[in-house]
Amino acid sequence: MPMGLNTTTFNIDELVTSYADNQISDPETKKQIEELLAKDQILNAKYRSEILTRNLYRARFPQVELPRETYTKVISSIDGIIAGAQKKILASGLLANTQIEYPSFWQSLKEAFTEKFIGVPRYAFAILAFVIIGGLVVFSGGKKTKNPYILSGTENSIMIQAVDSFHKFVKGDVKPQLSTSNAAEIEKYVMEKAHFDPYVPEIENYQLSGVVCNEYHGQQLAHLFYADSKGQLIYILQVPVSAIQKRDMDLPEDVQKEIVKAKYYMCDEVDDNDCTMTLWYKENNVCASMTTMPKKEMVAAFTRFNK
Amino acid sequence: MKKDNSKKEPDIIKQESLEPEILQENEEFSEGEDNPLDKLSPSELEARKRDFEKEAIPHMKILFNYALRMSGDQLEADDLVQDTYMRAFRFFHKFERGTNCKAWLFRIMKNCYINKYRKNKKEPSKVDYEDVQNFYDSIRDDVVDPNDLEHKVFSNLLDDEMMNALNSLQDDYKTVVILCDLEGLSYEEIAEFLDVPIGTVRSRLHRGRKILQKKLQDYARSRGYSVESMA
Repeated sequence: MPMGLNTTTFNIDELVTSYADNQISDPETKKQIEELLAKDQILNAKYRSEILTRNLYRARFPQVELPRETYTKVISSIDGIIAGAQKKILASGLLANTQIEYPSFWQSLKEAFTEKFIGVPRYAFAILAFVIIGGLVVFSGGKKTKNPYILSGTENSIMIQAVDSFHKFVKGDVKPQLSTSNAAEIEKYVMEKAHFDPYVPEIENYQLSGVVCNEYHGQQLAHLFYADSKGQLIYILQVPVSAIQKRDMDLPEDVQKEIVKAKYYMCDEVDDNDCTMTLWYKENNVCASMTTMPKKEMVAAFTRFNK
Repeated sequence: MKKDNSKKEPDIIKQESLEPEILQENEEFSEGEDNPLDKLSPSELEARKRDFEKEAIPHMKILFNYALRMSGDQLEADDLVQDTYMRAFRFFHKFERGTNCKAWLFRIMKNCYINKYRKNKKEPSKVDYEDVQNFYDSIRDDVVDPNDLEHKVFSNLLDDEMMNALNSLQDDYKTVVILCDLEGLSYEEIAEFLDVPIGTVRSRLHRGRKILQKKLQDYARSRGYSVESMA
């Protein structure tokens, strides 16, 4: 409904400002202002002067384009915030929900029997069958391991991937895509091929020998190889931590918890060659190392290079 | 929450208070709170990033322009935009989906500006509206068209002089002049950005422009132009 000018309360100068900016929608008010402007020379001069000032500023200071550096800086800052938050999540052990020590394979079975499934015949039968099949696998020349996470792990498990890739490397099925002892070249290669920044440690008595990058279901992995003069090998699989958070790769929650608590998780006899596996977080990556070194030696080597 | 400024239309004919408000810090976005991102799961963090890129990032240009005009310095504008977006990302859970994200970001930027930049900045002397409110009362009846002369004189002013005039405005006036005259926003949008009635926007704009005119005339006079017939 048209309002028109309320001559008792309005400030005509300010309404002229609204009129100059085409911000008055009421046709009656608009008409009355136009009549006033036609009659009142002073008001008209104010109106025109105001438009002049506005247009002068508008013309002299047009909008500028957003500098590319500003855009890049903002996006990197947000990525930085996210990375910081993810680090905190890992550090506070939110990825691992429980406070208990990770159970051994036999403990898990015992708990399953005694606490959860006791009295439920079909579960008891299934678990008994699992134990028998597991026993047959272990004692019939299959992969000898006592590690429950490798026994029960799926293909997207970082631990399984590490074991499998290490075996392929030892057998000669996988050759380094880049053979070099230069850490900077390895870093550059991984950045180019796998698009993340790897952690390339210097390991005493071992020489860096090469790297392989591959993709597992869209997730980029990097495999680093080291060897000593006696033919002993150290292999390190690296995956960005985000791969676990996005569930692209799996790492058991108990293992994550152990890494947060003890800074690393180490187990021996992970395969029939009695190899040792060590897992730890470094520079936003999950590292899973396999070696033919006995666990005791690996502990000493690991604490020296992973400072 | 989105403000319904249409309901405030009667403010257009209401006399506004003459004193500009001092820009107040909005506690909603203060850094005192624990980092809200610490409470998010990794998948929630990823989802927030996706939403933020869709909702907030497209408004970076207008925010940069505003920051540039408010601070008068590209590096400061750069930092101000960065601070604004970082804070916006942290507090993105407070943004109500479906409302005006640009206005929400603007309020955060205003807060950042108050918090950091204005505190550190040496304030130029501000022109009081009272000093110029009778500026046009002295316009002589016999001056029929002072605008042609004014146009010529003002057109010869330097960009620096015009920017100095803008910087001499109090922040409340300067904000609306920048948003309306340089960014081309409507009164309704500005009202939503500043969380004030439309009438307040109109009033501040009118006064801001009046101060600018006076300031520009002073520069013209100091450069030897005769501005007597203009005022």
